[in-house]
Amino acid sequence: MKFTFKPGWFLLSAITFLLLQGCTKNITSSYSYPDTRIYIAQRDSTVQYNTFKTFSVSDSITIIDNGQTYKSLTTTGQAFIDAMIKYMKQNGYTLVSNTANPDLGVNLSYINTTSNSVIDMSSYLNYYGGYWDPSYWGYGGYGYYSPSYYGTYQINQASLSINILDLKDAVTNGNRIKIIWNGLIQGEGIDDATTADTQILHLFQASPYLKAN
Amino acid sequence: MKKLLSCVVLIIVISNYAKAQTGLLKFTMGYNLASPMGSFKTNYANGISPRGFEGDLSYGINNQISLGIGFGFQDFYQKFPRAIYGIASNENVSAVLTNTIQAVPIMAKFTYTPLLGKPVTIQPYFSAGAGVSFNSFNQYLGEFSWVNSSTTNLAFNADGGILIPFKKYNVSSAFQLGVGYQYINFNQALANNLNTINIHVGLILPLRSN
Repeated sequence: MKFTFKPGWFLLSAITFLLLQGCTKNITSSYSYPDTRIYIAQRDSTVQYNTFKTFSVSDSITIIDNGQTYKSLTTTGQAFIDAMIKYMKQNGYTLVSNTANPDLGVNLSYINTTSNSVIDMSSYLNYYGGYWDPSYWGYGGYGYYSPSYYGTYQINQASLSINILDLKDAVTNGNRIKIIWNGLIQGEGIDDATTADTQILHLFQASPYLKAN
Repeated sequence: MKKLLSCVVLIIVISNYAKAQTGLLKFTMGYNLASPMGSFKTNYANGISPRGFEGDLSYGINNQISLGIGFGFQDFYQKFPRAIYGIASNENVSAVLTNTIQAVPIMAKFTYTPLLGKPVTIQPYFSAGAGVSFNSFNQYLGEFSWVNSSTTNLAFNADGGILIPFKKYNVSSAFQLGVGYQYINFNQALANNLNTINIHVGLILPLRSN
């Protein structure tokens, strides 16, 4: 029996297998910027959100940029603040001044990282009092605390974190301000005033319980 | 004299048929379309996947039966519109959800060609395979990987179609057209198996012959 070896077919198979490497669909190629974004709404399950009636929103946004923090109010930041006010009002809450003993306080923080790492929300919240002085809400000397409802997600650019604070029960909570809701936006192109309203809307759509009535 | 000549030609032709695949090592490579079925279609990927290949390396035991190794690759992709997903009792996510599944089955394969050795231009074939599939499943929320798993599962395949030889009376090189069913025991929460109907076209090429 005489066998004839034809190396051309092995070359063909090698080329075919190389083609397989490029044969999977790249998911991000079909994504627009909005498609890349996720809107995570986390709540304290023990809280009845309809027991709160008034709220106030901070007058600036804290920028947490690779460990450096400062307050800022850009056009984009104002757009996010306006959107929060709009949807809180639509859900039945009444906007008051931060000096008028609001039931709820709303803080917005823009977290920027340049490394491809996992956001550790707990470490971010450990320093929350440094970013947001409780005296702004009329509770000087108090601390913040929250249940462990913050997940960790891999990001490579930026995220916007919004916290709703229980000011009404700060005294009964042991002189601590409890963070009762966190909204986290991650993905591409977050820092955009033209889409701020839609981005906040997605957070409220994921939080059907966040109503005063 | 004419009758004798005709008989000689017939004997030569039949002898060619007779060793049409016996002792022949063949390589088949083709393009594959896969259409998901059942819960795989409902929960993971509801569209036809145009990104696939399949092939085999087979040895002709005789004209009717060849045995070999079948292999394949198929990439499934499904992007679902933005929706709200509860990912914990106190946590909802609004996201565009995307599933990607890559399946690489490798199977022992049995092929039956009932008319090989007979003067038929188009040869039907039937094949069956059993083996394992190496599967990779990724689920994305937005651009973020949410689930990432790799599994090895049992896989089965049944296939039928036609072979059209490039040279008359010689099936060592042929065009193949077939329709098949593939079952992969996926064993995931939303789909017990990856059922697909496959349509494929390919080429059969000789690697070695006696």
